[in-house]
Amino acid sequence: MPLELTVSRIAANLDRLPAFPPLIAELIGLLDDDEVNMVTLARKVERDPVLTGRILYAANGLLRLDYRADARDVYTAASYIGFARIRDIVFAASIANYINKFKHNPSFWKHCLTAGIAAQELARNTNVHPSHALIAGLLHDIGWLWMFYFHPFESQQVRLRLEVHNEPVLDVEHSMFGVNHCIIGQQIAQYWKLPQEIVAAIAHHHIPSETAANDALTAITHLAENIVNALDIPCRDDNQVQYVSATACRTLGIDRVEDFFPILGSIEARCKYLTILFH
Amino acid sequence: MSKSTTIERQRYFPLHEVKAGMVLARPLQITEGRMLVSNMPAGHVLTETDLAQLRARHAQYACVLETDWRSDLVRSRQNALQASRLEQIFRHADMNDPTTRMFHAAILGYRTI
Repeated sequence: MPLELTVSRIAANLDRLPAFPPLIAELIGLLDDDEVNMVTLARKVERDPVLTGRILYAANGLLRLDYRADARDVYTAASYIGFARIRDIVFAASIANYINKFKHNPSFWKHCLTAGIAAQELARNTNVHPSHALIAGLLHDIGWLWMFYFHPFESQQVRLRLEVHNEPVLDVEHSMFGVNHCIIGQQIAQYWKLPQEIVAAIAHHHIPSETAANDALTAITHLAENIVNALDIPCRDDNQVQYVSATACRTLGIDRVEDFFPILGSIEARCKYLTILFH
Repeated sequence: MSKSTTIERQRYFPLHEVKAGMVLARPLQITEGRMLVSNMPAGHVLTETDLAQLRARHAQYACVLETDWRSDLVRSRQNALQASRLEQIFRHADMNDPTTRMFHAAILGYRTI
């Protein structure tokens, strides 16, 4: 029996989701503030020992790849690997911690992480802030976690239909829930007061309308998910490419088959480089 | 013994898999903020010093030339496997749509080089 969820029914239980890490919202608010430096970042992060441990684990992984000694605190790690990169690690580690609370399949987190990396790579030659691209990629499927958290039985049914019957994901979600994970994700992102561009990117990442795909961050998130699914990173039975928006490609200056080669190569190499840091 | 046509192909590797002696297939530029801090042209043979410099500049990957030593038979079998996996991933895609078709061609071309 379909659930026939409505936007108001979704909104009614958003406060029952595990609390979104306040640090992320705080750091997003500071992205355009040039006065924020490594000391500010390190002080904010070190209030949370679990997060600090996770950040140091990832930062030291990077340092070891560069044949350098381990850092023992976030400030030292930031001074070795740079402010922008440590900030990205903070975003990724905080969101990884959050997603782990749902005890969902580990491949879900890997998919979010590779989509985040791909989005950041696609943002390289645009005006989109690289951290906005990373966050939109990391959170693009957050609506799916809501489905899993509040309706585990129906979510398993969706998974089963995807894996066994090979049906298109949005169609299956509509038939089981009455809405899809993009609409739910939009509600969650609004509730968390994420920037409007990130809310729009989460809402439209699957099948963006012509208007939506004119927005660079939506185009990036749409293409990022399609690329990691098409490249099969991580390898998942339910990786699907259903539709690639011409407008999204145009927004990002991709007109020809050849334009994709360096994008695909750099995304795959960066995913190999960075995914070992976040298990 | 199966026939072998040796070809050079462009491959992107994460920096920890790049070795001295490899030849850059594409220019490698590193910027810090808006400043270009390192610029190596295509055809440049990487040295240990280059790699140390790239690590210090936090480069994450490089596009290098790689000789493909696979026999024609192995290559065609692996390419067929890739094509078949892609068919599975694109099973719900509308292949009459020119952009989706272009995207599929790009992924297939990338996976079968």
